[in-house]
Amino acid sequence: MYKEKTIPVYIKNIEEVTKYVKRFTLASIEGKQLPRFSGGSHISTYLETAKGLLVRTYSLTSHPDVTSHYQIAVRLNDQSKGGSLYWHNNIKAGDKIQISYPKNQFPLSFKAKHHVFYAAGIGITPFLSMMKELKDKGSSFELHYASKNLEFCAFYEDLNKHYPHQCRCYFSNQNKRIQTRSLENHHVGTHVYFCGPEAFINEFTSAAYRVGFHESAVHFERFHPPQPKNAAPFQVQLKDGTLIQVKKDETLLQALQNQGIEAPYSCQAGRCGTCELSVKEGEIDHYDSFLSEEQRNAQDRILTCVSRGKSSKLVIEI
Amino acid sequence: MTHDAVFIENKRKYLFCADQHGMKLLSDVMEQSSEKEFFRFEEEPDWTSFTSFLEKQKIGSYLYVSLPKSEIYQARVLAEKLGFSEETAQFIGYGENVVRVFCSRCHSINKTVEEQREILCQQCVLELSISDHYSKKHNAYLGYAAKL
Repeated sequence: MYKEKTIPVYIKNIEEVTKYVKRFTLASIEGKQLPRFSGGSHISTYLETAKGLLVRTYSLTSHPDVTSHYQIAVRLNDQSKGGSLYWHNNIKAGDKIQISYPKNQFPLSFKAKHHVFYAAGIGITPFLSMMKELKDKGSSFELHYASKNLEFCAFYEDLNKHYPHQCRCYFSNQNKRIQTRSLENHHVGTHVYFCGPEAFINEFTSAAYRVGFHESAVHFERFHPPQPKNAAPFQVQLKDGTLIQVKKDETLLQALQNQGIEAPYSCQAGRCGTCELSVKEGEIDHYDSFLSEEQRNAQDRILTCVSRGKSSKLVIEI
Repeated sequence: MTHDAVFIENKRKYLFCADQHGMKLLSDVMEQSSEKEFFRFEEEPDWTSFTSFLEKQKIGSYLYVSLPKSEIYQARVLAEKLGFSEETAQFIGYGENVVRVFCSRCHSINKTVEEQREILCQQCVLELSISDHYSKKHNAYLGYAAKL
């Protein structure tokens, strides 16, 4: 399987943040400093499990300037296919794993005069490093953070301790829901950032455009790429003529990997473009947030981690 | 910054900042706008009041500024500092094309018309040859000593 260049680390510490969220501290096995990163960065973690290699990406929640260790926060997902379940139930202090170098597909805008973060649930994680970076720089920011209740509100105390004037929490069990109308009150020069479940991001991005935010001032990070409503199976033909079937419940990337093909990939969310392959024939259903409108319309490239064949067969360059 | 103002639809609010002549240049666009607010420049622009006016504006505001070409750059710099961008503002300059010249000796800024190639620095009276080296920071062309 294709694997990017990695850093060997060990689990230095595990803390229970809430009933469903654990924070893991990772430090270099070789005792070296880890690379510095920028606010909003994430890493891919490579877990060698009995069922095979699990690759999962998590936002770095520690301070971007701290290079002695990294921290990530993992929420136990009800529908976990192994990633968060493995982190919660199997990973112990002292375990060794491989991680990627930090990558950032959700960077802070250097053009913003004021940064406003909207988080729902575990969507808080990328904002933790962003706020640390902004506080050090003396930049202007605020956080709107929605959670079911105080008990499930990860990092609530930390946030109120370090950013007492910038944080506002909304608990749905108290009927205090985060409202899109708060977008109307931001001043010119504000950039907004959204992270949370799909519906939350869709609702807030649409509202932001409606209010008048220019698309360059609206930033978001999804946990998962948009899901095809009616995914259908399709076939791909490789350069050497091999035919591979892509089932309706698997991605093209997974189908290629299952056949032992070293297809490139990284984010697995349609954001980074690493997995892009040329398409010689066939029509593509694009689900990524990487290609431009013009590139999509050209129908000559596909991001294998999320996009699918619209026609029953694609001829791809690999 | 010399084109005509173009009306951009569907904005929450339109801001018109201009002197008397500039307001006339923006009148067509004004007629098409619904929610609008005005800032009128006097002969000597009050940049502090202009900044305060822009600072209170909320997302969805669209800005039109019309001033003499000698002043329009300063308006643009201030507006961009506060977060207005090419997508949210238009700057319409009018009148003679005034060139700013940075004196290489005393660092003062001189204003002159475009056609002139040599001027006398108003501050230190050095004869300056206007080069084509432009400084974005000073919004000025570098003036070298014309005679050594």
